[in-house]
Amino acid sequence: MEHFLNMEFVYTCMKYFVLVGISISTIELLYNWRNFQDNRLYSWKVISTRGYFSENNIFHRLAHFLLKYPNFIGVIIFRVLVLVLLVVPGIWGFSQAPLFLALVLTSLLINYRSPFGQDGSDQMSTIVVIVLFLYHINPENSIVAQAGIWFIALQSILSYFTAGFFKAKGDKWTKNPNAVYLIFNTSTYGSKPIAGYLQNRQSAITFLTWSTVAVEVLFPLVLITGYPGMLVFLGWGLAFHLMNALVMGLNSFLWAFLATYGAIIYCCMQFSTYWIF
Amino acid sequence: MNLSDIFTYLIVGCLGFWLLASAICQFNILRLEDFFRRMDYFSLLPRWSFFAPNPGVTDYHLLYRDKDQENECGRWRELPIASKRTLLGAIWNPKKRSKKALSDAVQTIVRSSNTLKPSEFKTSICYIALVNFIASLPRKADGRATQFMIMESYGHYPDKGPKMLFRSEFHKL
Repeated sequence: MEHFLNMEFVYTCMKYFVLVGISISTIELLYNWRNFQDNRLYSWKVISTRGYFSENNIFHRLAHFLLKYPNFIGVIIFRVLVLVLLVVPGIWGFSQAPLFLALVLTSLLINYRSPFGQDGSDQMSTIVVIVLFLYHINPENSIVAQAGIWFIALQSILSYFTAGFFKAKGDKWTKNPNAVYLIFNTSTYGSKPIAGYLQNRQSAITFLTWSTVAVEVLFPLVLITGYPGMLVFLGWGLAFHLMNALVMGLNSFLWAFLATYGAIIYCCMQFSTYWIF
Repeated sequence: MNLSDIFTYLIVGCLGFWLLASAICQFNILRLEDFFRRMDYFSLLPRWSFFAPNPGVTDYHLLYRDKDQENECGRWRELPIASKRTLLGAIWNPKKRSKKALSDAVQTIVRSSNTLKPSEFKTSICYIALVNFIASLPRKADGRATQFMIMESYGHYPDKGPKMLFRSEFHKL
């Protein structure tokens, strides 16, 4: 665990976890290249009518050039090349900041082009990549490095707490605790065998539903639990994301959120040194 | 104070502001969420309220049919929104994004059809994107116009039958 007090080690963990997730989702985007044609759901001709910027705006013209079909496929291929340079050791012998800048810019372009279809893992990955870029501008700058780690840890904790806070307000999560069964029962995010198994097991459904709300709401306590207490939260988080990947098909959440765990461990270990009890 | 210090304070300040804005947008603190989200062109302000407070407990179904030159309506055909779950999907799930896009668009149309005037939601990005997508699907040459319908069903083990949520007008092909 002491490794996690070394900021370079934390950033290395963060980098590799997030890059695995981004690599998978970028190749998935490329695999679905037809979706970006003008007669499909992600038609740039339709999406560009949102009119965020005036047509004479330099950003609009640049974005239009990069985001229209087929140029956007070129942006995704460029992103794949950047990922290769970042992941395979020994190819890129210079500072990694320009590569992370390229990842940041392509992430922003993808986000801008996707008014629907994005999820929380895309948002967390974008956040992590921006912090990795800031860190790699000058890895010797320990204040920026530390601020980046705290920022990632607090965003991650905020995400769990927010999810739990709003679940606690929903009847299906608290008053009639059957939300987990109802979600698993859908074809969109569920699984027929799991729903079938849970169907007549109300105590298991209640346990799964309430424990999800409880751990998410209590997640900020991870900062003061120290080692090994934090492993309860992080172990639960790992199991939660693994289950979501297996049962719900949310594959990219696992990597995006695991990328933040090194930062949480760092902050927890730093914070617990000031904690009296 | 040298340039490096200014850079450091700037970065730390920006990260602090970003975290604060993220928290404000989760809980709509001081009713500032709309203000921040209006400027968030790149989805930098996350939405962390996954499946809450009311989780999606139904499946949406998107169906469409065409009207031919003689004004005869064809049969309804379904465009699948959900995909079959596989073990491999835990690692590699390329269909997820297009299904999610379709699902997001359908849900937005259902929601806005209940809250907005027809003239408003029919000019929304989701509506136009969906009509554009459906109109571009391969079909017989004699189709003159197309119509889509959104239905809702109650999962693998339903306790009630499916119901219709929205039916569009016919749109010229």
